[in-house]
Amino acid sequence: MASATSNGACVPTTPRSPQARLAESLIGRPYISHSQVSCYANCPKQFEFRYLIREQPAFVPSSLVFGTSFHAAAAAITAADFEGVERPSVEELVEGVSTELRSSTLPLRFSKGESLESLEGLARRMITAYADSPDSRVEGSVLFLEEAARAEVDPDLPPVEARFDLVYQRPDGGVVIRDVKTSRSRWSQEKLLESRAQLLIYREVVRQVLPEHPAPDRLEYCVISKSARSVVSLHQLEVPRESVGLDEGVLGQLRGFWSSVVAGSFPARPSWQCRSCPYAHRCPEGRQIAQGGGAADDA
Amino acid sequence: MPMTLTLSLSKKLTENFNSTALGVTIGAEVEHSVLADPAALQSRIDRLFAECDLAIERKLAAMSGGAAPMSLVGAAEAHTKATTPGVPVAASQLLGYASGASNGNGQAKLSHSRGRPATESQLRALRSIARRLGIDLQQEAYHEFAVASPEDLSITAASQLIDALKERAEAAAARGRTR
Repeated sequence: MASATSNGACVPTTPRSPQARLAESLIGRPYISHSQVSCYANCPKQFEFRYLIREQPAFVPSSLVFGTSFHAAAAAITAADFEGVERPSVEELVEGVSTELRSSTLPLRFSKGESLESLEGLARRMITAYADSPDSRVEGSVLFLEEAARAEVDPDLPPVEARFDLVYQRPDGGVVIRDVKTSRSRWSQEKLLESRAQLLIYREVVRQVLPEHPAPDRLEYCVISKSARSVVSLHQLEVPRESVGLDEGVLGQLRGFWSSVVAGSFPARPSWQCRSCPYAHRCPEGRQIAQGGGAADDA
Repeated sequence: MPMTLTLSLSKKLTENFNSTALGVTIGAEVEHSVLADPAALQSRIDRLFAECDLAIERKLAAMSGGAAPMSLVGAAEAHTKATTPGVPVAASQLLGYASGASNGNGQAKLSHSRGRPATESQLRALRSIARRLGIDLQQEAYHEFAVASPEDLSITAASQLIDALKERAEAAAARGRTR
């Protein structure tokens, strides 16, 4: 069972499953997502503050707003290509990023040495690199662009929501899922393998949402580095079209996450990341590290 | 002193003038640290209610042969009471009662779509290409796929229409270049 959502609004095609209802009552939404799993893996306590207690964050990391607005800029370029119209100019797109950064309703928390001006400069470098890269040009027909869809990937799990950066059909009929990432540095092969679970989950959602289309046979991460000289690199994972369902490793990861949430297991995982956690002020372990007193430093 | 949180949840399923009601009561010990934190306590209560809800949903689904209920009327109450340390907390208790029998006349009020509807990005692309070509997209959708509006197109139909209109746009551009 699957449903497509648009602009965050769900269009249910079937009555909600018991697991979807359980998810809604626990985390306020009738689905789980890769970002929830990542958040839990990073720190279960942060997950609890964010999704269960729904605590107001003390601030929003500038990298989060920057990443979201960069995605919007990349999507505007892709949309123009698919529609066969002129791409927006780099300056227009930088203006969009700048507006997002300046209109954040929560206080922005900058990294060391960062400012609004430095982020605008970074946006200009990254958008220029992306627009100039042949990897930003895709041929075919758009299916999803900055949209979400949900599917039931396992009877013991709530539906899984995938937030697609881009899903398109190549002229040869193959379906491609592309996720755009901004990164401090280039991705290694190890990083690619670490990240494959997200795209495998997305593939299963696409397979169910688009039963009339061939299952996606190419999964891509388009990585744009935040370095002084921004570099665009495309990392591809080929998957046989006939492959069906999630492999046991990915399914096990989702099941482990969900059973921990249902069991109410939210231990704090103190690390250097507590310093940029917007809930650290509410967390005894995190507060200590955020104030510079903690020993945990596994960076 | 340890506290026990006792929650009850009951639900009534109404369909075709028949009703089925189920209730569940669950008790759980609560640590003092949770009681001292209103947000954590609320979170624990939410989780217990969710467990009750899931148990009832499963029971209702089993009773109706696996079909999901059409409508649910829920009522819930929660209260805390003191317990003596060491005394086991009552296990979940499932109280079920049913009235009426299915008359078989019920029809699920679900719409049966002909496929997933076109995505927003597909509709944006269609509108943009149609604008460039100077054609009426609604008429085009009706002519090609017999749907009242572009929003009624399926994902597959929208893909086909995008391809067709793009071909037309490219042909028009090529004609423009040769003139």
